[in-house]
Amino acid sequence: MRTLLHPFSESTRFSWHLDSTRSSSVIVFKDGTYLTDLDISGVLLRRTKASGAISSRSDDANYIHAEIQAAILAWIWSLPCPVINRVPAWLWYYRKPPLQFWNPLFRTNGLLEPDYDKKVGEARITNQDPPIVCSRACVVNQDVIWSEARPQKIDRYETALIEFTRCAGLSLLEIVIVKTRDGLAVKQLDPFPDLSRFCISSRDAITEALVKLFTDSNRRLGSQ
Amino acid sequence: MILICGSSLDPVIMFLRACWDSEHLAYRLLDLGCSEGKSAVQVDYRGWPMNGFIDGGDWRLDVTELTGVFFHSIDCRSEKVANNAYAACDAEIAALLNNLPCKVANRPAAGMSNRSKPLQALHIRECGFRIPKTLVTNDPAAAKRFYEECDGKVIFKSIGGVRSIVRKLSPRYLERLPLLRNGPTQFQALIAGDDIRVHVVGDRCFATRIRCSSVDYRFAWEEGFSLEMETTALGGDVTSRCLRLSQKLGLTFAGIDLKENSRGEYYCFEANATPGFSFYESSTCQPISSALGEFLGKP
Repeated sequence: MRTLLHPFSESTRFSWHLDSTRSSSVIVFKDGTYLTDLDISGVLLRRTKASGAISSRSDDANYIHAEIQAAILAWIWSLPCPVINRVPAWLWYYRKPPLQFWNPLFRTNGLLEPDYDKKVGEARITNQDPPIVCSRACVVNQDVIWSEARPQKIDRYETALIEFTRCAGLSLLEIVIVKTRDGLAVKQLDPFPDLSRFCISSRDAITEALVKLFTDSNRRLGSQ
Repeated sequence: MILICGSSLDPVIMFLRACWDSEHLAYRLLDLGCSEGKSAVQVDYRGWPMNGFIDGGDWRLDVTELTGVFFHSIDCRSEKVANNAYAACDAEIAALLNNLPCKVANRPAAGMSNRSKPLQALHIRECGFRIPKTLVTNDPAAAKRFYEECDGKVIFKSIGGVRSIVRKLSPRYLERLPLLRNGPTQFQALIAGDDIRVHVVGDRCFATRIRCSSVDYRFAWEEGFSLEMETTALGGDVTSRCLRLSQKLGLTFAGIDLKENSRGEYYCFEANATPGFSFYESSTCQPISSALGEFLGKP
């Protein structure tokens, strides 16, 4: 396992060749070791504040940042290995899209979107008997892992959350939900989950599920 | 009713309005350039179909009256906001356009693929187009090798959505390759031939052939080159490939950049989600504006 801030740092040299039929990339590290796209068996993609080697001293910092973001997005889409998540472009560039962005997917999967109060500028749930109880979950492929206690009578909604994640083109998604009288409303979404927001046992379960997802995906790729 | 979303001072919107006015086409303009941050949209997203209205100051339009929306936000393409689409597009407007049940040319979310040219290249080749030999790198030595492999016939341009001038990698620029350590650049084998811009409107295509000696014909006049544009026919199944690409990217309106080489092979470079079609229409008289009106005016 190797952690890489991004392939364009001061200590790496990145080259990605692409033509009508082929794609190949190599990252050469400062110590002379290298990593080709075929050496990578899986990528867990995290959001980083990518910058160029000397961009902090450059007037072109914004431009370089945009170039790096564009290159990373395309490169992860080019990789033949499992990538969690291979995010669509709109989710890559819309850093924190408002919940309304997801409305078509909410509707398709039988989830409710919370009312959006523009004056307050934050999500609020209507028609809710107090107190409002939020539950945090992490969907990892076919698993829903709850932080703290699993809400009661949630079975059919778990299927909706899994399907919602799949329809969004994701295999990992942090979701905060609220059970209302009308159904399950989504309050927050994050395709780059922060495990520190989960209890310790949930963190372990998420990690295990991720390992299983990588292993199963590679097994499937290997058998093809 | 058609809604135009954008700035009243945007030359593309001015051109489109002039055409639609001459055709007595009914539309409203939501002038994003003059909104001064005031909310002009009141929509309840909870129901389906969604309900609400758009307030343009001297008019008010129920969202159920809309047949189509033309969205052209030039601010979104500026370098300043390249990484923060909301800053210029306004989250409220973007959410509205992404959710409206009518036709939208284009939904902001669909246009995002144009912010990464190599990502589009991956989609482009899946649609059966050739793409030029490409290198994305921050390694000066790799760029130099690529230059030699391509016999010195190489161009370079931005990777992302920031508009840049395509330039030939001349010996003068080779001296600057060490600057690649600051950040990556995209290099491509130079494809000789005519540029072709295809505007896709729904399921119709309008192709313009551009004859120009400049590497980037958009800046031909500024660089002292002549430029000829004419309506052209597309060979083989190029039209269906253009339609497939637009559909794949979720674009109902696209400006697709092609190049046809001397062997009649078509290379595709990108699909613009906010194409400056007025530049081509004013030279060739192709009825792109009318087609847009027809497309967006029908439910």
